[in-house]
Amino acid sequence: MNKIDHSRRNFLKTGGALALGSTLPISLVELAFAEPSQNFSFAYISDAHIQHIKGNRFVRNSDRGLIRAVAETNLLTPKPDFVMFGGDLAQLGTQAELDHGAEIMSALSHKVHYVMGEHDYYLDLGAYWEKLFGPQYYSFDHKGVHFIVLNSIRTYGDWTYNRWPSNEQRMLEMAGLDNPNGSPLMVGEEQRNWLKADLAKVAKTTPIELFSHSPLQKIYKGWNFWTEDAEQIQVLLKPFQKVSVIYGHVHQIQYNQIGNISFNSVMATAWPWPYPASYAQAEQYLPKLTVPMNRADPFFERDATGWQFINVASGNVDLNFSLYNNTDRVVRFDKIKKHPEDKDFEDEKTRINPQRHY
Amino acid sequence: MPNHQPILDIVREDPDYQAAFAEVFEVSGRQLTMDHVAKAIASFERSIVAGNSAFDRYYFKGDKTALTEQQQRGFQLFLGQGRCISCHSIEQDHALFSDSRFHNIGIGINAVQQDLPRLTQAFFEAKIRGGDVDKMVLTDKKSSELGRFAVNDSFNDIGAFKTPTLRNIALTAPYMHDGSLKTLKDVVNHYNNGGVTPAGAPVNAFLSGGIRPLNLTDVQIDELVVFMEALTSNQYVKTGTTVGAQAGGSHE
Repeated sequence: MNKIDHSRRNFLKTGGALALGSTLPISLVELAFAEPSQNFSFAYISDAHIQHIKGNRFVRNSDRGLIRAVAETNLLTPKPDFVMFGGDLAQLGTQAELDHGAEIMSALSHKVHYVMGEHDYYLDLGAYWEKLFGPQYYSFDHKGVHFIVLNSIRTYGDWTYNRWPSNEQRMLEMAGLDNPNGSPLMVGEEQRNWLKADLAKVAKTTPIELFSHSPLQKIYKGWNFWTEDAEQIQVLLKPFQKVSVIYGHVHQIQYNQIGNISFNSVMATAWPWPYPASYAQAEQYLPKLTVPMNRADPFFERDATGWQFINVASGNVDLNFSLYNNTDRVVRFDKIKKHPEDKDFEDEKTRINPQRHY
Repeated sequence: MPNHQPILDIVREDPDYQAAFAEVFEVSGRQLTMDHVAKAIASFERSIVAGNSAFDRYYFKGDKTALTEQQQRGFQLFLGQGRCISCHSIEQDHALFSDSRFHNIGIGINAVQQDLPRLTQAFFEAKIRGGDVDKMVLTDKKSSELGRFAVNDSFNDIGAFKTPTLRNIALTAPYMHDGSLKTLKDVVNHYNNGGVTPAGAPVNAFLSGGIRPLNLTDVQIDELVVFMEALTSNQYVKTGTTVGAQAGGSHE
């Protein structure tokens, strides 16, 4: 079952290129890195979809998925430098859901940075979320890497402000898949201008890691695995040597490389989505690089959900997926091929049947 | 035990063992090795066969009178609302009442939840230094509650223990890996509470997904208990003194 050994020795092994003997003392391992300050890790939890029923009752499955991710993150050795939450903490954006989710997240013994998801947003356009977690888009620097968080789940002003009789209705419309009343997600002009100004202050050699909720690439419009102005963001990122975009929203493993930009998705703690390719009636653009996850076993209620810790080694990211009741996966940036790769399943011959029949 | 010598000393010197090994293997003294002991133990284990319970006669032989009506209702709960079948499996032509997997069902682990970051880290570090998992688990009660995790380092398996069979379960109190539940009724109550004893205690973060409150009534709980009493093999039925006593077990 377990492909990721969470012990300190193997934790470092998956992060760097070192093969270590089991008897090597820990202090030596750390010294063995050429630039230890450039290598660090953070954990990423996403898409909890905490859902209020009524009174103090919440959907148990969603609660347990997030509680488990938080508890496991607290056990990581060595400790990650910080934790990201990738959006959709709530299901329908209510204060009760956001408060309940924030309470579960408060058990983390780390600094947490939050990303806005459409399920957090479309009830009050992020007003209560901002009170709890701060600005909807921002940047920060950590150990030589420039981190950027965008709110990528906005849409056209007319749809947002003029179309719906109530905020609740607006939230429900955006929460649906294959909804003819829906509207494509986008970053929008305001944030694109801000991003341009933010990037102007950063050296082109500085590694950039950008967090968004929706993919900043176009995969499948009907499920909003899509960001309408993705190309315009990609153009702004193009001048930088090392760029990684990490997104939630899709509840499945996806990865891709477009020019200098690596794309990685993160897992949901709530539930898995099928791959768009399984919906054969519609055009979809799942990246060729992506080796799909295996089909979830319905016996295991947490199967095909999970969380990840991310090693940042010299500016590139390696994602270590901790998949409940399933084989853990590692998607690592290959420095020679210059794109993310799954070390176990990338070769066609090593794939297993459930990865073809998802 | 650092080696097998103490075992060999006994079987080579005890008159009864000497006679038995001479009769079966035609060996004695230094010719008698651990291979012979292992074969003898294996032969003994092969003789322990559970089967021909009231349940087997009812389910596999079609004897509809083998189970009482209360037990039959208990069986339906076993398959349905009680969700027991999810792990205590029954196949078409045989029933082991175990899926041979590891699950966290909220036993033992609940008491060490606050300590987990310290325990898991100490465990990782001890392992890196070449520590012996058996020794660590057997000498420290708290570490032993880490369950399967202690063997495979997988967060999936924190507090997870292997599903035991339910055959002859009425004869093997106390229950669970740590013997913490005294009666079968206590066990069903534990599951009915969603993996905690007593009801309302905090659920552990690593609880297996299938464990959840079952909303069974007291009557249904008793039906499940009497069904489990129908899993006693025929040859033990008369010695089964706990039958009947189970139904009066305490509520928690």
